[in-house]
Amino acid sequence: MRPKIVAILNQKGGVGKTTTSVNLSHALAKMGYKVTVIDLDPQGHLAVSFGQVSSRVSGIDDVMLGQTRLQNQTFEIRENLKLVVAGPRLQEIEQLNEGGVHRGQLLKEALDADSEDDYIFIDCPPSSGILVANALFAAEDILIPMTGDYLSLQGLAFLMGTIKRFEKTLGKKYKISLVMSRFSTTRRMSREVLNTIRKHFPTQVLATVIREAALLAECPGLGKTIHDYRASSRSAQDFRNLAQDFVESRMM
Amino acid sequence: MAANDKSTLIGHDPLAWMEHDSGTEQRADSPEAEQTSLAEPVNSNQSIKNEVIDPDSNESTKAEVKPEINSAAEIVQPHSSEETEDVIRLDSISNIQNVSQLHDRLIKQFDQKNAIEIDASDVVSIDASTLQLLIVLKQSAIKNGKEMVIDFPSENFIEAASLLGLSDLLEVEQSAAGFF
Repeated sequence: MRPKIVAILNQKGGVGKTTTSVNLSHALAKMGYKVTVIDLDPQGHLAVSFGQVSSRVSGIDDVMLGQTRLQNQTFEIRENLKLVVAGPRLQEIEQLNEGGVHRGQLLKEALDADSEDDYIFIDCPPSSGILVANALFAAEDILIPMTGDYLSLQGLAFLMGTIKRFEKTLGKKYKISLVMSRFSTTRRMSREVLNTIRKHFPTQVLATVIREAALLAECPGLGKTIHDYRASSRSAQDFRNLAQDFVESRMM
Repeated sequence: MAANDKSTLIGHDPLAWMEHDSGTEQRADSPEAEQTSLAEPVNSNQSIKNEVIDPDSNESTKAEVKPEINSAAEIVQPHSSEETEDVIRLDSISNIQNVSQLHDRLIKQFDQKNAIEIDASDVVSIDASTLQLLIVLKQSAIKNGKEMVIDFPSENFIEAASLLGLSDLLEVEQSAAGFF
């Protein structure tokens, strides 16, 4: 079976990429889908958010460097949910200066094998180098977390320029969707940013917004997802709704 | 550039360029487009001085270290040989010494294609004569309903274009797109 490969991408930091990766993937897993989530950020925050704190364990780094196969680097962290950690050598890949044509396709080649997964999520780093290029080579879908501030809008403009150039170069068309993260319903700026995004992406903003909440900020320190930590909270409900939106392509 | 009404907190919509993705219609009637044509030779007596603009002139080996991707074309096989011929790659040192050859190549492309792609990822140093040639090409493309894009501009290209206030006209900010 060929899983859907989704890059969770935004080169701006603090927009909720890892929070979305953790909680959306877990919500989907709890719905019964088989999900693998890959930490492509050398900081390793995704793994920490799932309670995996060892920074010495190899992961996607060794897969991309051709040392081992992806299947050897995955381990089940929740029911139906597998994690591939970043690994200590991922930063080396970001600095790769050789390899020519090959260096952008390391991840795609690693993910080309058949899989039992329904979804593979790639939690991208907030940067602009080879790792993100690898994610764009490998993915068919892009999920862009956005916050309700002006600089986020500015970052989205740059990101869309990049995506369009990759589409042109690779001769493919991504399925792009956006999710409003850390959203403050009472803040005027947030609403205006959302309206602006909806104007430019009228059928691509997922129906559920993820509201800003202290609980979500508390989860990583405990190594728990919001579904582990407070399954009855409104934040957990937001992510359950988001997962349903994602599966059914329900947009605003 | 899009400015919203005064009642909004978003004065400039950074996504407005997506509405004009073809990049030609919005400037087709600009005054600059009427002033010059690609057929006009570029010479060193223009108002812009032909000084070599090399923001990193003390780092001649800088191009050897590429922690970031300068070009998606570096890491992907072209789809066909025909596609590679569509792209004009600027020399790493693009200046008055080789602007004539570049002019010839651009003229040829301009006559044969509706879209001219210029890869500026290798540029370490570029002077005003080359930038001016690119401006003239851009204006001529707009005037003739053609498209001209600069792909993957290097940092030095961006800085040089910025120094001369040509970034907007050449649309290098969009080309840089954060990743390149």
